[in-house]
Amino acid sequence: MNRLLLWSVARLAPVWQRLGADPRALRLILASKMKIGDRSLKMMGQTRGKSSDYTILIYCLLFIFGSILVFLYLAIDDKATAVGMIFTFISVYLGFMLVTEMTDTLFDTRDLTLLYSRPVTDATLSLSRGLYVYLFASKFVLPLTIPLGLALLYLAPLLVPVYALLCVLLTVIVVSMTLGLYLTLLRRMSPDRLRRVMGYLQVVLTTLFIVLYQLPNLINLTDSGDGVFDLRIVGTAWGFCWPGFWLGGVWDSVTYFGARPLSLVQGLLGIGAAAVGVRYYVSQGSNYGSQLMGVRIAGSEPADDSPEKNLTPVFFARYRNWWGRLTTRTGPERGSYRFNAALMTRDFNYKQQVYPGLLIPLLIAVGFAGQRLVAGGDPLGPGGVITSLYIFAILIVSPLVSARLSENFRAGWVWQTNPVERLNPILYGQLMAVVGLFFVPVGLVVYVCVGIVAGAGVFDDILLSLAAILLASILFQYTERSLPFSQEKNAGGFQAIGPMFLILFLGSLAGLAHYGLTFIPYGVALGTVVAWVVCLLALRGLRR
Amino acid sequence: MPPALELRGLRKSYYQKPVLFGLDLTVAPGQIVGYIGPNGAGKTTTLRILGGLDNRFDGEVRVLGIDVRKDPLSVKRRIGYLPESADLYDVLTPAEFYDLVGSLHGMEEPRIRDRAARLEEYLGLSYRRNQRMDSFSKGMRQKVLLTSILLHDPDLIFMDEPLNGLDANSVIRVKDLLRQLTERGKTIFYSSHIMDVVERISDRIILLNDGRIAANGTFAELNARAHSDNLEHLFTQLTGGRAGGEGPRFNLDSDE
Repeated sequence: MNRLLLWSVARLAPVWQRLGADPRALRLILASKMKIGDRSLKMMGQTRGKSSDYTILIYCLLFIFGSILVFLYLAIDDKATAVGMIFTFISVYLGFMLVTEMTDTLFDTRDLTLLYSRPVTDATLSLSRGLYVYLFASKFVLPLTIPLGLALLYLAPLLVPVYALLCVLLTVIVVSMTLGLYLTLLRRMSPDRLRRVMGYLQVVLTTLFIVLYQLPNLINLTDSGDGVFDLRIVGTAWGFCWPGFWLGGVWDSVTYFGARPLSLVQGLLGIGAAAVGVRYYVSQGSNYGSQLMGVRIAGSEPADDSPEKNLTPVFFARYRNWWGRLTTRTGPERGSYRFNAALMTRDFNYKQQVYPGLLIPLLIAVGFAGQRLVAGGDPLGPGGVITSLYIFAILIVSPLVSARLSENFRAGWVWQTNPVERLNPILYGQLMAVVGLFFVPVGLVVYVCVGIVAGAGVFDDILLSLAAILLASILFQYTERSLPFSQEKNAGGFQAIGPMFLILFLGSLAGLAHYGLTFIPYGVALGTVVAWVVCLLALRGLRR
Repeated sequence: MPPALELRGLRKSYYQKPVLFGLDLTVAPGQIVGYIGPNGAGKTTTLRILGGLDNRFDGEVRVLGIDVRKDPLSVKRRIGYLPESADLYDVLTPAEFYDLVGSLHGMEEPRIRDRAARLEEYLGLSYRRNQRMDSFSKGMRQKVLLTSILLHDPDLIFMDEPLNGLDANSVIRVKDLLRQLTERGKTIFYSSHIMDVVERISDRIILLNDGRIAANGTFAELNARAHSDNLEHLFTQLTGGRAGGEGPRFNLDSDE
């Protein structure tokens, strides 16, 4: 596939030349980057040494997802809206991938000294990065879009070229918008601020994409089949809300010559967005090399718990220290707690993986509580309450699972050269960091909201679920054999995800047992006492 | 008092490819030992084994009288190990990094802070309060690493290229520090490619070539044996290299 993509790039040499780049240098840089990328494939949060099997698996999964999208096309009567919906799903997924995986590529300064010390222009440099990201994105778009392409071959063969063109346009729009935004930040911000802002932006965008994916569920779009069949977005004012629908406008305009006027406008917007996006990206790329060099040599800001800074970090730092003193002993326990707490609040990759996931229970809980406070209504039934209580296990499991992985895993030598007498104190310190940093503050809000939604009668349910969730996380730590932030992202295959499956399985069983106890008089109260005793014993065992 | 280091028939292979061919070596306490050799000679491999980081080897290795294969933890408690070009968790501040390392050695926080401050002052390491290490220069990082391995006052210090990235003034400081440590009975075993430093500060020099000890003794002893005036010449003689000016002339334009 690389050869095909590079061949396509070579065919467009005059275009690159007009944009101020050296086509030969561009092709050479791209070929090298793709070779390196394939040998250390980085996708879906995984960095793989041996890429071939894993690549095939990812493409197969995407192909299956693409096949599901065919049903969406068949289900929706208005085909322009169907195509718009499909492109919207793909664009959200692609945007998510670009934000999580390719930001580093755009701001990668490791090869900068190598390239920028050679006679390579800024345009060549920025275009090579942009094209690399585009080619990376294309590799994902292809398996996602091929199933519908094949279906169209059967259903409407004449529309296949239109569909193919729209797929290209979609990739161009999403890539140029995402990268254009980043390049704008690179130009407008001082390099030392950029690092911090980028970290937050990644978290915010990742959250946005996750929420967008959940949106159909949240607005009950998929509950009723009728709602889906009759859905009509392209050609209406809603069609302006996301670029995927603009491309639906192109589809509408091309396939039905008497298209709705708004479809025509949306179609023009789609084509214009792709052209403007590319032009904008190129214009923002001037002076790219020296800006990047600025990022490379920029100083770092002081740690966010500096006492000289504003009140929030001071409060947070005090709370962090207080929690550490309260729950850990001096020595490896406290050392591990402090180390984990610092990394968990500063490591961009960790924040990106964990923080958006924490916001979702928070948003759901606050949303439901707000709705009940404003609109009233009956409290949730026991089944609903218990399900939501156990979903909140994500507040502790997700931060723990990610706390052993690090982009900077090579710094884990520190665990090897120093005497780690026993693993348990280290893992206990890590658990306390997760509980103190995430579970307590976010959980407080979430459980208050649960109280509002379900009433004060669920207090014992909350206590029981808390014990069960803590017990699950202690079991996770028991099964854990790796030191904090010392594993490469791809470490271990099933070995890496096995303990998490175990915890999810046990969590589900605990939830089921909890539900069963609600049918027994005083069952939940007795269960709570037993669960807390077991939980405290397990915690004591971990500290030994 | 047992020897600081005792190696008997140390052999090591990577994927069937032998790297160390039966090293025999004894180092008495209180010495600075320079461990030199060409790239790929097996220096870092030896240091890793001595530091208890790799127990897949043949032969017998005792560090401070402790069998390193049987009890690497006891060895790690009493040594300091400085890896070559080590990565750091650079979102941490130096103090947080020292806290981690010190706590693994069971040290109390005030003691860690006090010792770190004195070491940093001696090494000339200064930075803003709460500054994270991601903005540190290579030399500053190296000083952080040096400080971190000395915090627990180890009896034996292994260092792989300890002068990497340090400026001339810092090199002088580190050399003085090493000398003072040996005066207090500490043993230092380090590898370096900077021959004149090795020549000047080492009580003893061990030259490793192709996984075998090619020379072992004081600089004067080695000089007398090889009739060489400096360590660089001695190095090239014993490792089959060429001293400056002895090789064929290099001409990039020869194809024109």
